[in-house]
Amino acid sequence: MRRCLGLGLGLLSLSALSGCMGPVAKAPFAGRLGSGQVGSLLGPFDGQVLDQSTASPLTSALVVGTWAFEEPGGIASPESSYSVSVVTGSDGNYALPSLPAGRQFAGLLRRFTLVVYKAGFVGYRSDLRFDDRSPRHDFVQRGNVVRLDRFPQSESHTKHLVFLGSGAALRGAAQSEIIAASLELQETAPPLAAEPTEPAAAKESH
Amino acid sequence: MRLSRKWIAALLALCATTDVAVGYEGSTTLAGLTEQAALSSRLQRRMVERFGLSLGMFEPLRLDPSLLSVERARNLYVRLSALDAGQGHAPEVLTRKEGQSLSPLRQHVLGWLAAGSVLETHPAVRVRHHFVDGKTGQGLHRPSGVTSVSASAESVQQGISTVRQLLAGAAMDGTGLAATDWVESSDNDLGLPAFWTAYERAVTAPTTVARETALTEALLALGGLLGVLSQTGDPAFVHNDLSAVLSGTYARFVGQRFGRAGVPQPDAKLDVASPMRFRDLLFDGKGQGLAERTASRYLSPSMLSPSLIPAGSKPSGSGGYVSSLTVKHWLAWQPSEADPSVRSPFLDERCYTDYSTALLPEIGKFAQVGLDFLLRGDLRLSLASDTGLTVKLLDEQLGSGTLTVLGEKANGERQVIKTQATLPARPGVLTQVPLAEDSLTDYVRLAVLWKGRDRNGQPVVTSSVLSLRKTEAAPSPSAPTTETSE
Repeated sequence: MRRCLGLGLGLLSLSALSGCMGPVAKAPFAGRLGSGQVGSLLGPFDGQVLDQSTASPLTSALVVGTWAFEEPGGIASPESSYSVSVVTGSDGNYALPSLPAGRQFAGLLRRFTLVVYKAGFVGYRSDLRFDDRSPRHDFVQRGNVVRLDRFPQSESHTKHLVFLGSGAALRGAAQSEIIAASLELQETAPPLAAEPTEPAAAKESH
Repeated sequence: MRLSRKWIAALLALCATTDVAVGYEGSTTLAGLTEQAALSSRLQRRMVERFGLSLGMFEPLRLDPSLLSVERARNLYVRLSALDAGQGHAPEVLTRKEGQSLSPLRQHVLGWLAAGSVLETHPAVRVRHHFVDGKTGQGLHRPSGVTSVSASAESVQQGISTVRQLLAGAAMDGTGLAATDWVESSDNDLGLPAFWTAYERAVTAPTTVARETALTEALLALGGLLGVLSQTGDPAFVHNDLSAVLSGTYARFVGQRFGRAGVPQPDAKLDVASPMRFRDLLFDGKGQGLAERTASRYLSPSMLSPSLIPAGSKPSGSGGYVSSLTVKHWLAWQPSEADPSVRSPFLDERCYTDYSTALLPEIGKFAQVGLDFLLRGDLRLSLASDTGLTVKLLDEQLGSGTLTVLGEKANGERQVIKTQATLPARPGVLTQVPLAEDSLTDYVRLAVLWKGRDRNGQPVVTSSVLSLRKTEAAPSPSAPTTETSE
């Protein structure tokens, strides 16, 4: 049994933690930009959201951080998740606290995902880029800089929303874009078969 | 008789916890495949036409656990609560009302569908039923020489199963239903029988919230079915390679490379014919099922042997690659340090990159065809004073069935107006139901449920709605509520 559990856990780099805290996987991001030091999934997280075109801070951008836990004996089975959301101030800054102690009793802390949304801009995920859906490597725990591009007119709202995911806070902030995406889907989704023009269907034996 | 060490390790890992999820990662890859399949399918229009959901795939739907059996509600609630909110398919928890022991949950159509694919791997013991041998169609089975008794006894000896389970024949014996049978099993709460039952209730249940709850269950089942189908695009599941599934090396690579949001779109150029049965998409015995296609072209670690390396292959640097017609990096190999004439085959990241780049769009296409197939049989309704309600069939040749017409009042309450049998029909007028217009004054909407068989004798459940308010759009059954998230 011990060997078996080791088989599962051995695939992950775990940091030994004291007390009742569950295991924590190795963070795929740095603590700070250029520091070379691996960050911590536990947090805290902070940074600034900027308008890519003007470099000015973006106020009232929604920032959602989610910690996802998996069963420690397994490989990739969801166990629970915990989300915190904040909005940026006039300086574009955000700060998410460390994972609350009361939430650290859960299983293996497998990943942390940061999502930033501001209407009229292309949203941000800490794990993937929107433009080519490639893995993102520039997310850092502290002093993270999020540069949001203006949402291009030709871009698909549907693809944008699916990219970001559909958490409760995001759905609340993106109501107008959800309607735009629905209208877009009504135009672009594959049609149903055309209504038959024959006066009546031929009955057949079955 | 002793089990091999590898087999025991695999057995132990599957049983050591009831929550080991393996194969393509549910939270990322399976959910992403399902989302992309849905976006390429007719789901959007079907949600609008069949259920009057004006926002289609983005329409929020509530699941009220108090409308389910206690056992079902708890089971579903626990599993849904485990989902990763960062990937977007975790439902929102709404405020509990008096009399509700569990909070209602809310998510949009696409989110419920993706959640179903994740739930199909949770608890992980379900994964034992995701195997289907690409050559034989067999489910997870033990290697030759390992008997059920020895495997079960070994699992008890190792503390995996109890003596009680052994005596009851319930000890884990390293086998599973073939995925083709699992999707049709009444023991599968996300299988076809569950889908049909939930779909029917999503039309006929008397209250709005009961219909929404049933529709979320139908969507979860649809997602689960697509999840099982997608797993047959993982080489380990079609080569009976339990240890590779449990090691998760390939699945983890795919999860990290594509995440959920980076899963590619279905291959639009791939021609996948609509099947006679859903199970045929997994394995049809003619080489056209996804399991057969995957097994014939891709390798799994348990089947690697030096004989796969063509004689005369020269190493480039420390090793080399073998190409196939499908992928450049089909197999990696390197000469042994001790004896360079001995060559060891393995699969590395280049192989996994090529495998996943080729497989994911193909899986997506199968999932899209599967989704369209499960929701086949589109109806269109029209009402006239002389002919009553005309039900037209748009896309599918149907066998005989039963049509139920329901009237919906302004408060969302539905009641059956009429039920009648229908004869087999090609696309065109399916049937006409005599309805006097003055008998419909209490209703704001008509709903129709058709339940029967298609021309191949396979079950079909379909529906449509018709608004009776000519000057305004049909109200959505899931109009925004005043509930707030906890």
